[in-house]
Amino acid sequence: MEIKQRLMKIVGPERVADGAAEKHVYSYDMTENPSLPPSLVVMPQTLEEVQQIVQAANTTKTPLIPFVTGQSVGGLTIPAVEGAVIVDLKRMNRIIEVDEEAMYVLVEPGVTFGHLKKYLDDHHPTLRYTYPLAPPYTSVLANALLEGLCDLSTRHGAMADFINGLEAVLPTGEVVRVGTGASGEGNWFSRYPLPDLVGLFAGWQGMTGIVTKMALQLWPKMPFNRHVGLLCFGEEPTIRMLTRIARTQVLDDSVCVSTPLVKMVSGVAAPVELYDGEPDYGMLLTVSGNTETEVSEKINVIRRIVNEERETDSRHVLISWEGLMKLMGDQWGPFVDLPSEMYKVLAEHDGLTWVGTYIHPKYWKTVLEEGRAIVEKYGFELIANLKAMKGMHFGEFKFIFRFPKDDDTVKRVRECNAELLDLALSYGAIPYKTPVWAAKKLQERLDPNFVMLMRRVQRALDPNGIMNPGRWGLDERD
Amino acid sequence: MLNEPKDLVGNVLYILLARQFEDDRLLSEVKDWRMTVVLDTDYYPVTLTFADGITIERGAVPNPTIILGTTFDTIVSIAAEEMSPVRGLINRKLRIRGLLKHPRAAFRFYRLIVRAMGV
Ligand SMILES: Cc1cc2nc3c(=O)[nH]c(=O)nc-3n(C[C@H](O)[C@H](O)[C@H](O)COP(=O)(O)OP(=O)(O)OC[C@H]3O[C@@H](n4cnc5c(N)ncnc54)[C@H](O)[C@@H]3O)c2cc1C
Repeated sequence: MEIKQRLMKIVGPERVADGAAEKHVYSYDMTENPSLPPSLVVMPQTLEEVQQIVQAANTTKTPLIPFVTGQSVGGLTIPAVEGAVIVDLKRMNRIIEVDEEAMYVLVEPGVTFGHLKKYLDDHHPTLRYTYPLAPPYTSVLANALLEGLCDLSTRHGAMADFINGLEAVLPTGEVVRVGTGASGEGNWFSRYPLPDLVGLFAGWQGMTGIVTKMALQLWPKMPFNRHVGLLCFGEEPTIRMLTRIARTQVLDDSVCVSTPLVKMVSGVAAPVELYDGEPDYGMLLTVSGNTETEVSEKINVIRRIVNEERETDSRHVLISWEGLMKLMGDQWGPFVDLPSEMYKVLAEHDGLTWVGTYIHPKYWKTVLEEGRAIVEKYGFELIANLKAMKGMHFGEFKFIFRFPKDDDTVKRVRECNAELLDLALSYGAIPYKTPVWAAKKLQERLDPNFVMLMRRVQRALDPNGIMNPGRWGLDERD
Repeated sequence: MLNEPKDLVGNVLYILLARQFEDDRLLSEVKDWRMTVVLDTDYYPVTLTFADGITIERGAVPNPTIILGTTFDTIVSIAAEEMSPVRGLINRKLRIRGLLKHPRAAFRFYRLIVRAMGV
């Protein structure tokens, strides 16, 4: 029996599609990564269906690509090989459990940020999750698997750090649970002190199985929150201020962007440039507390650092939230009430891309300076995006490109992104949500034994090589 | 009536003024004004040309009717109501040049901007 018939038997004919339109929709994303259509799309709704799909794919040796909304901005759901089947998990969208005491939520892959936020606000108003700048309709579970960053990442780190445990269908079809949830229902309180097998799935871009449930940490919603803006000049003072402020541990979150992005949010039309005399960067800093006094004191800690820096350059300006809304427009409201429509400022054209990296704090400033020169050389809008991560143990660094997808611009975007990645890699930065071309560059810098270990783990879990083959460039080195 | 400038300070002025011009009466009053104002900030200067509306441009025109010298920090403090415009004038954080020669223009602009800042 062909794979299509097998899949139709498992989920019913209405949830299998191989029409030209469906294949086209799943063949590309917003990035510059080359498109390739899948052979089929299947939409399971239950764990059992996922398991049977994986078993069937093993029989026919059919590549499977786990997919929720395809918004990774890394080309991660574009088939890397011919004949792949997209396993679209949108219909698995249950919020299974919220544990108020241990503060976690158990979700299926199709649960979106918008869905989770509303559910928590309605049913568990004292708890919160953490939200990205990404569209509200993207997957909470996929985001955590991808080790991305949200609006508590300055405090708590990359999104995989929020995972308490998960349930997955292995590439060979067995269902496994990792984390304390392996000991029974309603017990997903931690991933320790067991061997930390979350690492078999997080960061793997769907190569090691299909995750069907995930327990994620929630946090108490603080009664008092405040945001402040900071306009600053020069890479060195900007990074110094961000680093100093983050190290005080008063922040929930920090976003530092080039001024053109500040202006985009304020409504300036494309293309947006940086003019002489304008601040180079704008930061949005978020603090919270149990009392107004606690919050005010945290703001004072920030203010003291900024005032010290102002002794050298008085143009650095700290702006209260009220001042910012008044001077820069009400559009800033959704920026701090994520998930929101804010991502639309980046959707000016049909193309959107970046190579996001995590980097050692000591290289942050240099890579920003040199990265800026690269982007300026190519003549793109200057949209650096930085976040202090996990109390300043490391930094996030990327340049964002919103671009029209004509051949010439796509070529320039590819060249510019490649140059930026080479730069970042030369300073030991590690890309996240890594497209294949970037993974290959990364591999050249990694210890070969690390790559060997990755390949060995992948082969052990997926002997038939059916799970999202081609990702991480692992097949290339045989 | 009001162009949308692409620089930061100009855009701030645009946002402040656009809100005010939802008031038709103010709009028709301002349309009749004829003057140029340079807002000379520590970031860079911006010129507001009042002639059948307002054009906001980066840079300073020669011989404006009035020049308002200040810092962006002062603008922020006034917007956040941490400093009143009067206190700004007394402390010389706001400096108006052309006041004696063009008191009416200076007063008009001062009133407009204070209203726009909501203070
Ligand atoms: C404008 C914009 C802004 C963004 N901002 C942010 C941001 O601030 N922070 C951030 O972290 N991200 C951001 N993103 C990236 C992205 O939206 C998120 O990471 C998103 O949550 C991923 O979900 P998805 O539904 O798009 O996943 P998909 O793209 O469908 O999948 C992503 C990867 O995970 C794999 N995968 C998906 N589901 C499973 C599963 N169940 N089991 C195993 N593997 C699976 C896929 O095969 C693929 O490799 C942004 C995206 C956009 C477009």
